[in-house]
Formats: sequence, C-alpha cells, structure tokens
Amino acid sequence: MPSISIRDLRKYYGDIKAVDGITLEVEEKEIFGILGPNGAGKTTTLEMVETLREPDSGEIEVMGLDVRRNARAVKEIIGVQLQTTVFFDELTVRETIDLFSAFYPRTMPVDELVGMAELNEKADSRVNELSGGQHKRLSIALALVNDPGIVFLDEPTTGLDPQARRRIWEMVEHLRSQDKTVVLTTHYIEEAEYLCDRVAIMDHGHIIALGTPDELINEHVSESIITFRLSQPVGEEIVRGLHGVTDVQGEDGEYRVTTPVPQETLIGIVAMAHERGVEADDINMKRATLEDVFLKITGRRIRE
Amino acid sequence: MRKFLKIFAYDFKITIRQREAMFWLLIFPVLIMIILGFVFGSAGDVKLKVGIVDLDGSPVSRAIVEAFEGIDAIVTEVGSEDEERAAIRDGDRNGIIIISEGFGEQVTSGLQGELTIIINRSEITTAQITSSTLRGIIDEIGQRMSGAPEIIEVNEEEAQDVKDFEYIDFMVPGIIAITLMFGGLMGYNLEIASYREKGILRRIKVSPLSLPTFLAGGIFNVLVFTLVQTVLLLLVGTLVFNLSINANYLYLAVLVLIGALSFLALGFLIASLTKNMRSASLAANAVSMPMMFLSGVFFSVDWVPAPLKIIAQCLPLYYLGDGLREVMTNSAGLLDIWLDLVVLVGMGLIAFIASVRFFRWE
Repeated sequence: MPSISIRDLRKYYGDIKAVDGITLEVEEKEIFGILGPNGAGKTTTLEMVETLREPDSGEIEVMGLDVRRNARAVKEIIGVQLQTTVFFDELTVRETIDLFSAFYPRTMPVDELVGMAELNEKADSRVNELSGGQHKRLSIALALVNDPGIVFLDEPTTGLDPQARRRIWEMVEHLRSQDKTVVLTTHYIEEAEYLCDRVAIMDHGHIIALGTPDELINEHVSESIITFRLSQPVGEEIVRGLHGVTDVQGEDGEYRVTTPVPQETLIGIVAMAHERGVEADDINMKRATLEDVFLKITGRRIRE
Repeated sequence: MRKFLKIFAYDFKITIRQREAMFWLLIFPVLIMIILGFVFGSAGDVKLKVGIVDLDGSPVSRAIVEAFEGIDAIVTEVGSEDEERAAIRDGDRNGIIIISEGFGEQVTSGLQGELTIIINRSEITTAQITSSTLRGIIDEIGQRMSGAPEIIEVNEEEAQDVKDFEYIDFMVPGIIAITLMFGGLMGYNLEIASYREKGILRRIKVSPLSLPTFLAGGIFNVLVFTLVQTVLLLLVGTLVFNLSINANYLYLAVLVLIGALSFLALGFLIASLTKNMRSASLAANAVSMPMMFLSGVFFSVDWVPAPLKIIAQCLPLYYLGDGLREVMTNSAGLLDIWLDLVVLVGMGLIAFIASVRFFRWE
C-alpha cells in the first residue's frame, strides 16, 4: 500500500489554479520531493494532504485513510513542519516540545527529540534565542513528537546558509534510517537531488515530471558537459572528432564539450591527449541537473 | 484533562514570563487605584446630591423642583419616596426633600406649608453643609413666593441605616471593572491573534488537539490571574484606603468571573474581526478607551449631564461597574443585580457566537 495516494487533486483560488489536477503516489519509506518555483502549488498540495486545506475536488488517501473523512485519524499518524511557524517566545526548546507533546495521544520522549535536532546545548534556551537553522530543526523535531510514520517538511531549508542546510539534510537522512516516509517541498535543486528518492517537478499547479532524479535527467536531458584544459591547444575540429561530441567551445587550450555519452567522450579526450603528447588536466564532467530538466521542459529557470 | 492541565501550566508560565504584561496586568491597576485614591479620596463630593419627592404635584411644588434644578452646585434627582429613601440609604444622596400632598394649596392660601428634609448624617463632612444649604435655599424660595420665609416650615428627619460611603468605595469596584475589561480586550485575545499570525494556530490545526481544548487552558489561566488581580486590588484598597467591603465573596467571585469571560468573548470577537495582532490591538484600544471614560467607573454617572448618562448606560462596562459596586458596597445578591448579569452574559454569548462565526485559522 502506498503511504500517500493522490488522485486528480484540484484547488482554485478564483482564476488562479493553484493546484490543477495532480495525481501521484508516495511509496512507504521513501523520501519524496516536490520541486518547483515559488507559486507552483507545492505548499497548497502539501497542505491539502496535511488536512489543513479543503481540496476543491480530487481524492487524497494517507495510509489508506481518506483525508477528508478521517481527518483526525490522519492527524495522529502524520508529522507536519509548516513553512512559517514561530513558536512561543517565552518557552524554552524543551518546554515547547513538551507542550506540543500534549497535543498527541502517542508521543516520543522529549530528550530524544532534543537530541535528534542536535539542540542539547540549547534545550533550556528560549525559542526566540535560536538561530534560523536551530529554529528549523526545532520545528522538524516538533513534527516528530507523535512518532509519525509520515513526515511533511515544507521548504525545510529555505533561507538557511549552506552549513545550516547541511545539518537539516542530516536530520532528514536520519528520518530515512528510521524508515519514515518523508514528503518535502523545495526550490533547491541540490536538495532534491541529494535527499530525494523520487521527485515530482511542479509548475503552475501541474506535475510536469515525476521520477528518480537520475531518471528525470536521463529522460529529459540527454547530454552532459565536459570541460578540460590541454597544456598545448589543439584544433577545435580534432576535439569535435572525438567520440560522442556534439558541440565544442574552445579558447586558449580550455575546452567545453557537449556529449550524450560522457564516459566514452572522456576516454577519447584522455587517449587523444596521450597520442599528441600533451597533458590534459582540470577535467570536469558536469552532470546535468534537475534545473536543466526544468529548463528543458518549461524554458525557464526554477529560481529567477 | 492531562492535555488541558499541561496547556494551562504552560500558559501560566508564558504569562509569568511576560514581564511587561505582568506589569500591566497586576501592578498598573493598583497604581491607578492608589493615585486616584490619594487625589480624590479626601476631596469628597464637590456637588451636593439632593433628591426631591414631589407628592404634591402643584405649580408651587414644581416651582421648588425647578428652583433646585437651576442651582449649579446641586445635583437634583426627582423620584418616588421609596426610590429616594433607598438612594439615601445606599449613600447616593446627601439629602432628600419630601414635599407632602397639599403643600401648594396651603402656601397659596397663605397657610404655612410643611416640607420634610432628610439629611445623610453619615457623611460628616457634608451633612452640616447639606442641612444648612437646603434650609437656606428653601427659605429663599419662601421669601420669593410670599415675602416671608416663615411660610415654609422645615421638619428635619434623621436618615436611617445610611452606609458610610466614600469615594474609594465607589472607585475600587470601578478599577476592578476596568481591569477585567482590559484583561479581556487586550490580553489573551491578542495572544491568540499573534498565534494566528505566527502560524501556531495552523500547527495546532494539523494536530489531533481540538482548538477548544487549547483555548480552555488559556482561558482558565486568564481567570486564575483575574481572581489574583481582584484579590490584590481589594487588599491594597483595604490596607491603604480603609476600603469597606460588605460583600458576599462568592457572589463577588461569580460576578468577577462572568465579567472576565464576557469581556474576553468581546476580545475574541475583536481578534476574529481584525487582520493581525496590530490591528486587533488598535481596535481593542478604540473600544476600551471610550468605555473607560464614559461608563461611570471613575465617577458616578449621576454627576454628569443626562446625555452622558444615557451613553454610559449603553456601554457594557457600566453594568459590570454597577454590579460590582452593588455587590461590594451594598451587599447586593445576584438577584439584585439581575440586569447587570443579563447584560454581561448576553454580551458574552453574542460576542462568543460571533467570534466563532468569524474565526480564522490564518
């Protein structure tokens, strides 16, 4: 049984089709990402699954439970981190977790959650003294107070610096090790590629692509880019003649080639350099990213 | 129950830790009371308040009533004998004049007419002034009517069972009423508005906890603090100003809780109707400030012009102040203040229903 199954979900706000007919399934124990630009409908989708918003039409089942008919039962088995929640300024981290525990019938030990969020040193600090990253980690810990099977994280790293983001990723990885199903939204490509088993790319209320990051890249962007430098320049036509190369840009011995078969082209480059007695270094293979997938499908970038 | 208690315990902690709010909640009303008590406590009533019972209804008696009404230094009330006698017992009159039936006829036929005056002797400072002022005015009226002051004979009667009533006795119930109002309009309701703004309400919505349970913890916390606040005011009033309380404390507690809940409901309505905490706070100010000054909680509405009195009686705070005053100083029971209770409970229910209707999670 899939953890979540959504069929033909719609939510319109007047003329704005925030979510316009979405169908997808989230498997048990997978980390599922919804990637898309701001306003794509990611949060609206998530909030309908979380019982926070009424869909206009469509069906949502969480662990086989219809979200609209069994809202309370669903609320007990999901954990939710909302995009913008500020907590009680006057309470400490430990107290905040303890208070939220009172909202659920089944709960986790407070200390365990404090540890999971790496907030041991801050456990007795007021919530308003936390940094942005610590605050986000607290809000994820609060999504876990009821030891849920399914965890929803709405843009868990937005606005954080790379280091703070890294620590959130570690927390999500930890959830994976605990066999939880995680659904997260993001507009960071690296985040979706690094964390997610599968990704749904959303734009204008539609899912425009769905699959593992590799599948999506292979399916939509067939070519990779290799850059390298030669100790002595060779003619562009020689590089162009290498196996698989479809495009070459070269200047002062630095080359940028496009190829659908990067491995074979790479071997070709090394062999060519060897034959000519020049040295090839700074060889970089830039893999296509989900950004390229989005660009390919929509003609736009995710973040503009 | 476990949830409720935990939520209450944390609301209590939050309240205690809000230093600034604690000041406004607990200390500020006491300061106001002390300031007002010292400034006005000894000044006494500036104007004499006189009740006239016109049993005669003749042109002559009406002329006397009008003459009194024309005197600036005296606030004149006209009422039935029962009303006025009750008023002087409650300490609401410095004196009353009873014009007996046939008085006008006697005077116009040249006979000596008889008036009865009753002086409130419990207010020692003013009793003598009241007596001599009333006699002087009546003599003056007699002089003008017939050229001889002897035409009106004044019989003086001692007022019975008059309560010792001072400004502080009047003011403390008013301060309590105001405190309850501010507590309801600018306390927990604004907190909820901020929870809405911060997304805490949405976070609660995605949990199995019901909002009523969450609110119940907070409201219980408000009521606990309200009672503490009331006791504190009564203590300071008693210790510093010799406040005399003739109250059934159970009735007083019931009235305080009803008043607190009623204004809290109004506060929730304000929070439900406004967009964010800031506008809720402004709206609460706009509602509470005029009420504070117009509801007759610092001064008796009997001392102000009639239009202001009518305005005061349209404001819910008036009824809370009135009820508290009756219970605290006149030993009134809950039945005696039924009108006050009906107004408060009615407002509370209407505001509650409306705020549920207009409630928003975000």
